[in-house]
Amino acid sequence: MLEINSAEEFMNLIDEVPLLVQLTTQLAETLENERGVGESRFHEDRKFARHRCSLHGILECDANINPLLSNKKTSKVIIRDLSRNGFGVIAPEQWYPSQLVKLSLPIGQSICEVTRVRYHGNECFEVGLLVRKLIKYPQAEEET
Amino acid sequence: MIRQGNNFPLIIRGTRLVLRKTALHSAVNLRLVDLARVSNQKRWLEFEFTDEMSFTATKKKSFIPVNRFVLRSGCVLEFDAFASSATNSNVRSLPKGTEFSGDLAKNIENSPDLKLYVRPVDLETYWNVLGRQLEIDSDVSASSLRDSAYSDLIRGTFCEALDSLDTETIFGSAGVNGLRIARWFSLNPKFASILDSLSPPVTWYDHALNTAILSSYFAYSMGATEKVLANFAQATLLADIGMLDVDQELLNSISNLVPSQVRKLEAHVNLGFKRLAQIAAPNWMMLMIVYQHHERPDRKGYPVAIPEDLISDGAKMYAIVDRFLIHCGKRFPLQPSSITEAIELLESESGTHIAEEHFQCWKSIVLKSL
Repeated sequence: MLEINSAEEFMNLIDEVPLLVQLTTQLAETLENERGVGESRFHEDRKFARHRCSLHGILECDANINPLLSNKKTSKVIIRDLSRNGFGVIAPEQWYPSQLVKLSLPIGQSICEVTRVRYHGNECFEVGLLVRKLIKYPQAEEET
Repeated sequence: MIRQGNNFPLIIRGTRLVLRKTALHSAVNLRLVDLARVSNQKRWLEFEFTDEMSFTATKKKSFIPVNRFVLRSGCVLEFDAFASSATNSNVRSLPKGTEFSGDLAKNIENSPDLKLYVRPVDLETYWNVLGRQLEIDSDVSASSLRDSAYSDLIRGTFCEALDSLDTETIFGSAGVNGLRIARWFSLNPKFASILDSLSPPVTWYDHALNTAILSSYFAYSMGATEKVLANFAQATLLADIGMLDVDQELLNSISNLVPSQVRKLEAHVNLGFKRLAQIAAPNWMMLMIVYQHHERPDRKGYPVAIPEDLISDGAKMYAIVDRFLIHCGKRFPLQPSSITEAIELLESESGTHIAEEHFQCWKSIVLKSL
């Protein structure tokens, strides 16, 4: 489990981790053109607007009740969008509903639950994450 | 085989109990709806089974209904029952004490496909008894099953295979796994009502049971070991467990669904996966059957729309049997097709809706059994 205590540590780490996601041409174009508030996809009922962003984060598995859902994968992901209570990320591997994951971001870490997964291509899965807990880095908290 | 008079042979085989009413030239099936959660509202038609395992027939078209079922082993099983007619496409709940006469008897004559469902009241006792394989089970042969109204799906070599595959093999050793499944279901009060409300003419529970039996046979034919088979059967029974968490009104809706409703319905695979992962310690194959059974080789399935090579074999096999049963008309509202027609329909869907390679295996299994 990654122990990151500051934005600086995160920035150093994120540069070292390779991005294994293989974006499909279509998805790459979409990511390129998407701006602002994202539209509702998959006929979903949204509570909070989804905002397009372009960030990298590190996704790793957190403690899961069922051992079958615990894996040791740690990967660099593209954060496609975020809303008040969730993230949409592009990950290189498939995750499964109810898996608990830890997402490391420049301002802190977030414990999330996987809610949906969509296949885009080989090593390209879109994963919907529901935020369970937000942990800001101490330094970031002081600044706030 | 236990007989009451000459006209009412009563057959119990594993979890299925079939009563053939030959005098009326129609078959009335009494099926033990195992696993279904027991309804506390005793509003179903009741039958009497004495300790000689028979029921009393007062007239040609009627008999006295009581809901006690005393086995020779001394166990008492109680049942709830309800009637359903495929022709009339409705399910009627009958008040306690309703006699099997009058309009209902007339309906039986008019509806040769009328089915009466009974369900055990004390599920745990039922499973304990099932573990002992119901003493009366011993001399039921494949041929008697072949003759029953249920035989359009299970016959020929399939029946023979079923004979060699007792329910212990299908559902795990000594009914223990079955009991565990039953307990899972009994924890979920919504389950029975959902199953009931999803009639007519065949409940989702029936569909789950039919799919589990046929899928198990599919896996057996493909050389699955007993352990794998037991897990496979459980997973196929539980494939739609996520429906428990779907809004009941939505499940009851018979009108065309709008996209947002379809999405909610499709969420049952995610919900089922989540539920199964939380309430039990299944293996990965079981989880994948629950999670991937609506995936399609043409990537138009859900929830992930993965390509064929990422879909587990178990999920592919389940999907084939699921569609096969739909085409056979075992699921409302489609019109039933014959087995050959169902295979032809499946053939046209292979490679898109279902996996081609696995379908060829299923086709050879089914055609061999005809």
